[in-house]
Amino acid sequence: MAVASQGGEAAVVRAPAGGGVMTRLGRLIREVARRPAGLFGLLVVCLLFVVVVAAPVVAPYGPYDQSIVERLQGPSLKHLLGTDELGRDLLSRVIFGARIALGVAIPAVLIAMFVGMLTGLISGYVGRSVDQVAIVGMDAIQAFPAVILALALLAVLGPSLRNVVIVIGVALAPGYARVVRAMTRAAKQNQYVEAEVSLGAGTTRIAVHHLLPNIAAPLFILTAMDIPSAIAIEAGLAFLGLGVPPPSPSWGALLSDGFRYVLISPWAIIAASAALMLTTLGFAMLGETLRDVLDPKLSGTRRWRKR
Amino acid sequence: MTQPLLTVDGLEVVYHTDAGTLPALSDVCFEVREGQIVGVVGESGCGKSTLGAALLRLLAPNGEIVGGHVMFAGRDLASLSAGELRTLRGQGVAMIFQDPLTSLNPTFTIGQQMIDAQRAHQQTRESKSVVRQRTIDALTRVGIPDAARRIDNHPHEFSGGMRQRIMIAIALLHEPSLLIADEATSALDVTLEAQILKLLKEINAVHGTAILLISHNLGVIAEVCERVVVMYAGRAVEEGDVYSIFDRPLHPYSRALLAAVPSPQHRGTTLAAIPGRVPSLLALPPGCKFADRCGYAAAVCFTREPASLSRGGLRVRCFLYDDSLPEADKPRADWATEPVPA
Amino acid sequence: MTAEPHNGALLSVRDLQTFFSDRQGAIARLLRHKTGEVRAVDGVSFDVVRGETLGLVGESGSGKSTLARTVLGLVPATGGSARLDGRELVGLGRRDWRPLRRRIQMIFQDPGSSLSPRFRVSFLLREPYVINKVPLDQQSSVDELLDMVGLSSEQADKYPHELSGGQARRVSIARALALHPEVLFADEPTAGLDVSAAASILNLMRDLRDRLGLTYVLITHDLNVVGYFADRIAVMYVGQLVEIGLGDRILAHPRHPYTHALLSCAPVPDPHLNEGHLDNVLGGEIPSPHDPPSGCRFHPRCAYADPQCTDEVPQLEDLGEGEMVACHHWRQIDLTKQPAVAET
Repeated sequence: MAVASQGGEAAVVRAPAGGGVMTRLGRLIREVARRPAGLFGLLVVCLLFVVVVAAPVVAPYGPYDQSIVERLQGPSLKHLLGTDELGRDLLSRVIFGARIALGVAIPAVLIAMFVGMLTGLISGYVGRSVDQVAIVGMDAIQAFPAVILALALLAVLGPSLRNVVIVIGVALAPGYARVVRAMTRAAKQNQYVEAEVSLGAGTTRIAVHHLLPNIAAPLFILTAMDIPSAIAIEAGLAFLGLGVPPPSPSWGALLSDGFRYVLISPWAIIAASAALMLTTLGFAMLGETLRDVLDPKLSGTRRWRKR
Repeated sequence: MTQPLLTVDGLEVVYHTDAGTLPALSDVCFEVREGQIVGVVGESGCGKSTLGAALLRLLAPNGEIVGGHVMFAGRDLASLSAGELRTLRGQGVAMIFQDPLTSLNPTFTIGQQMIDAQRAHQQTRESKSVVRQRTIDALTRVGIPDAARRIDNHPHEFSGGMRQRIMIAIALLHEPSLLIADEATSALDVTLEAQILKLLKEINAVHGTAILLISHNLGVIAEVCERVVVMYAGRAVEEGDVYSIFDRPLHPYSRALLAAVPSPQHRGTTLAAIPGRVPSLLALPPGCKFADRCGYAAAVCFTREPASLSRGGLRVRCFLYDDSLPEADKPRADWATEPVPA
Repeated sequence: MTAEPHNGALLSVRDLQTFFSDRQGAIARLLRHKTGEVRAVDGVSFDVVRGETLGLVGESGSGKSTLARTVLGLVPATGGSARLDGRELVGLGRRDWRPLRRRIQMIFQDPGSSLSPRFRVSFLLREPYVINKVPLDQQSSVDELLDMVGLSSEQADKYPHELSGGQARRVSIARALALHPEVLFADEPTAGLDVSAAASILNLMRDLRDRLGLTYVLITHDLNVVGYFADRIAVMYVGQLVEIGLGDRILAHPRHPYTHALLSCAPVPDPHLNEGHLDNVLGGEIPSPHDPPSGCRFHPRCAYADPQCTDEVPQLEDLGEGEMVACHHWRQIDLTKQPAVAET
C-alpha cells in the first residue's frame, strides 16, 4: 500500500493496483463504465459489435432488397428509417454498412498500429540517422490530408476493399509512429533499461520485453480514437465514389446516393449521418475515458464530493 | 503563560480512497509558540506531510479533516471563511515545499510572481516601484546576489539552492508569524542544505518567525529545532525539547529510531534495525500501533491504544509511563524508570 | 596524475574521463558548431583492493554516478583507463563485455524505476541467467537468491510496484548478485528509504560482504552511511577527485578544504554535536559541470585560495598507503583552527 507523498504536496492516496490480466481488465471496464462518457462509449461500441456480428439476424431486410414501389419513403412501421431511391430499407443498409465501416476501420487501424509501432520503436531506440530518415518519411505522409493521400494511393492501386484498408492504414501509421517514438525515447531513459544493459541484455530483448509492454497501453487508447477517423476516411472515399464499389451499403455511399435525392427525401442522409455520428462519438468517448482512467495520477481515487 | 501561536488539538484527518477510508492522522496534539522552531519527524506513512497540508487546509481532494481543532493566534481555522483562510495563508502562515521548481511558475519572471503575490494580499494599491523595491530587498535578504537584476530572471535560470531561497523570500513577503517547511531541504545537497537551514535560523532570530520544520532527517531536526514531535502511523508518539528527545527518548519508537541511524561509531557492528514494518494505514492493528515492533510490549499494548501523557514539559504516548495501570499489566523497560527532569 | 597501482588492486582506474557534448544533431556537427561540453568525469584515478569497500562521496555534479556508469560500460568513456583485475574495460564492445558482466555489477539508485515494471520478481531474478545463457548447474534458484537478501519466497510472484522500497532494493541486490560478481557498485543504496529500512539494507550489505567476499564501491552523499560502511573514502567535486584515504582518517582529519566543509555541514542526529554547526557554513553554489571554474575547481568557495589556485589545476598527490589529496596548500592549512568559509 503506498501513501504517495511528493515533497510538500498533500498526498494523493491510492488504492493498491496489480493482479492478473483478467481482473485488471474487469477493473478497467468497471472504471470506464462508472463515468457517463465512458458508459455511453461502451454501450455504443457494444451495440456496434452486436450489430456487425448479427447483422443478418438484426436487419429486417437484406441490404440489396429493392422495392421500387416503396422508394424514398420516410420512416414507417414497415421501414423504421425509411427507404432509399431504390426502395431498399435504410435501417438494413445502415446495419450492413456498419459491417463495412468496422470491417475496413479495424484492420486499417491495426495495420497502422503495427507498422507505426515497429517504425517508432526502431526509430526511437536506435536513433540518429535511422531516426532522421524515419521522421522525414512520417512528415511526408502526414503532410497530405488523409483523404487526398488515400485518393492518390487508390488511383495507383485501384479501388477495392483490400486497397482501401491498406491505404487508410498507411495514412494513419505516422500518428502511431510518432507517439511510439516519443515514448520509446522516454522509456529508454528509464533506469530499468540501464539495469538490463548492465546485466548484458541486447537491444532486441530490451525493445521487445521491456519497452514494448510499457508503451502498449496508450496505443490502445489511440486505436480506439482512431477508429472513427478510419471510418470517416472510408466514408469519405465512398462518398467520392472511390471506395468499395456499389451497391455496397457503405455509409459514405449512402450519403452520396442520398445527396442526390435530398430535396425529395432526406432520410437516407439522416440515417447515414446519424450512424456515423453515433459511432464516432461512441469511440471518441470511450477513448477519452480510457485515457482519463489510465492516467496514473487519477486512478484509485474516488471523486469525492464535499458535503 | 501567553497563548501559543499555533495549537493543534486532537486533529484527525482521513483520506477517502477506493480501498476504504485511510486514517492518516489521529488525535494529534502539539503547539508552537511565537518564535519557536518545532520539528515534526517521522518515517514514511507517519502523516507528517498530511499534517503540513492540513494546517493550511491544503489537503488533496479526497482528504478530509474529521476531528479536532487547529487554532492559529486564537482563532479556530475551521471557523474561517474561504476569504479569511486565503488571507491567512501567506500573511499569517506561509509554507515552503521540497521542490521549488514545481511551486514556481516557469513562464513568469520571479519578480512578476512575487509582485503578484503581494498585490493579491493588498487592500490599498501601492505604487509599482515601492512593491518592486520591497521585492528586491526581500531577495537580497535571503541571499540572492545581484537581486536588482535577477528579479527579472525566470525560475529555470536559477540553481536549485537559489530557487529554494526564492521560495523562502516569497513565503516571507508578508512577514508571517509561522513558516511551515515541509521537507524543504530534502532535495538539496549537504552544503546547500546547511545554507538554507542557516537562513531559516536567521529569519527566526531576526524576525521572530516561528518555524514548523517537517523532515524525515534526524540530523536536520537536531540541528535546527528547539522542540520535536515524533510521529508514527498518524499519531504523535512523543513530544519534547530537542535535547530530551535525543538524549533520553521516552518512547520505544524514538529510541529505536535513533539507534538505527548509522554512524562511524557503529562501524563493524550490526545496526539496530527495527524489526517488522510500518503498518498499512488500511489495516491498522488495535491498540498501540507500534506494539508489534516494540521490544517492550505487554498484553495491554495490543488491545488498547495508549493516551498521550504529560511528563514535565514532555509528552509521550506509551503505557510504560501510564501509572493508572496496575503494575502487573504495565510494560517494563529499565531505561524507562529513570526519573525525568521537570 | 600518476599513482602506482596497489598490489592486489582489483579495480584500477587511471585518468578516467567522460565528457558529454551539449549540442547534438547532424547539421550542427556539419557546421562544426561549437559544442558545449560537460566534463562529467575529468581525470579520476583510484584503486580498489579486493575485499575492501570504497566510499565515493560527492554532491550533485560531482560525477560519482557517471563514474560508476563509465566503469560499467553503460556510458562510453572519453579517455583514460579502468582495469578489472588487469583487464581493460574502456572501449569494450557489447560482446566483449558479456563475460565481464559476471564479475562486476551495479545496484541502481532507484529500485522503483530500475526494476522493469511488467515482470514478476521471479522473472527478474532469472533474467540474468537467461540473458547470459548460464548453464543450469551454475544458477542459483530464485528461492536461494531471495533468501540471500532476506526475502521470503512469497515475494517471487509479486510485481515491482507491489514491493516496499526496502523489498525492491533487496530484489535489485539479488539481481546484481545472481551472476556472483566480485565487484559491486552500489548507487545510493539507502536513498529514499526510512531509517530502519536503510539500517536493514546496510546490515544485509555487510553480511553479504563478509559471506561472499565482495568488493564494494559505495556511492553516496550521506556521510553517516559512508562513515559506517566504507573502509576508504574518496571525495569528488565537479568531476574530479579531491581527496582519498582511510575512512577514519578522512572523517577525523580531512586534508582538503572541501572535505572539511562537507563534514562540517553534514548534520548529525545529536543536538549537542550540532551546536555552532551553522555558524560557519560553506558559501557559494556548486559550479555546474558545464562551466567549471579554472584551476582548482573549489577555489571560488575556498577560504585559502590564492592566485595559484585560480591558475593551476592541483594534481592528485600520492602520500602512500592509498592516501591522496589534490590541493596546492594542504600542508600549510590547519583546518582545525580555521573553518573553510569563503562567504555566506
